[in-house]
Amino acid sequence: MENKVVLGYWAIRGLAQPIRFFLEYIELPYEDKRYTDPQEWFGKDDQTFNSQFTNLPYLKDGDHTVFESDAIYYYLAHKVNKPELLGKDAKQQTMVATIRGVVGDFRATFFQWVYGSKETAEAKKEAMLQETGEFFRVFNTTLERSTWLTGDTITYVDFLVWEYVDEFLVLAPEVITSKPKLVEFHNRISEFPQIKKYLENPNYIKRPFNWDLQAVFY
Amino acid sequence: MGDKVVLGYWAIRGLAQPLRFYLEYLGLPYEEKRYYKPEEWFADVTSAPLNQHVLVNLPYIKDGDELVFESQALYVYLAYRANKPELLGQNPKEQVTLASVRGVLQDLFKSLITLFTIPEDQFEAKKDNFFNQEVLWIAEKLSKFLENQKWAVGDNLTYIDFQLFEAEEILRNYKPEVFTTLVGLKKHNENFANLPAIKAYQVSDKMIARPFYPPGMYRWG
Repeated sequence: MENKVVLGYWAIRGLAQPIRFFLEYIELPYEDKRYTDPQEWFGKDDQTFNSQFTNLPYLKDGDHTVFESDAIYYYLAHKVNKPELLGKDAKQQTMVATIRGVVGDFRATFFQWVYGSKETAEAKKEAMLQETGEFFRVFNTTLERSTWLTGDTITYVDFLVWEYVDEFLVLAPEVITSKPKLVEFHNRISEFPQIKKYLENPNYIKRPFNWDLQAVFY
Repeated sequence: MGDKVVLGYWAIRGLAQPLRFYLEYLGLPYEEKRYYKPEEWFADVTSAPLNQHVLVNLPYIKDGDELVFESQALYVYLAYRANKPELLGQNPKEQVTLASVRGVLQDLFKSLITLFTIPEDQFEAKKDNFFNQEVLWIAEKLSKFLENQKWAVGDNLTYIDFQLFEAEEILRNYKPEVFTTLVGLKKHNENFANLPAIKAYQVSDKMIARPFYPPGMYRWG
């Protein structure tokens, strides 16, 4: 009897990678459905859902499907009865929303460059690294003041930031290696037994981070 | 006791308008620090207590010694502060739906900003096409979703309804005719505007009707 949840997304890291990490962390069995061909999704699978919000990524659980990446973490945390991963009290829930907001601002800056003009990418790279470096500085300082980004226990937003730390360790390592708390944070999550095992799994996607056809860095 | 919380933001609607409605709805005593010029904000940001914080930005809530940043976090903070956590979603189903609507709504706001920051010399030529191709389809998704329910998560009001209303007000003011087809958004818009606290605030002298966006920087506002 197949009762695994199904995570559907493109065959890249993108928005789904922290969700994959989250699924591995909570040790919930799942099918990692990867759309390598847009025609498998558009006009085909995307027609099978009865929702106004049909999109990738999705999380299908039997008859029920959740859309929007952020909502997927909420669904999964409640499914495995670990709501503390969303923030265990008012203070931490506020901090989760704060970090999530900062991640959103980071994404806006970073992806404007990633999916921007290929011709000007090299010229604009330094300015982009300055701006994104500011965000990483904020995360680093936050980690000097608390064990995890939102307090003394881990929440799903830690996985969101891990993904961008990991990406920058490839794109511009000095942005990360100059911030010791970020390096330690990256190692700390990598060393969780279930995450360590996942990182060594041949199914683990190392690259591309982004859409390789359109991105200036992937 | 009863210290007022302070909402700090530019003297425009922007990200703070739903928060103003929210504070009125919550019935929390509050004050606003409205910044009319960048120099005023720069002065505050470079002195205590703001200069001791890492994530400083607008809008913010100052609550005694407590400072909270990032607009989405302010809704969480204020719900608990007013002892009305039901506005965050009363059960997992409502919380998940809230997060889904929030994701789609954020795409709508992003699209609207892209529309209104089309370079000045191209705006007239490109605006209608862009609206129809990049804004309308997201608004349609939300409208159809809302057709068969009163509020974003169903029967209960949550903080995302406040943000939805602001998106509706932008659409209604920019292109009033869209409400003929976006009946779900129209219905939600009317229901929200009729909430007693909202109705009273909209006719009060605290209400900022316009601009939605910083004047001079956006093609419309």
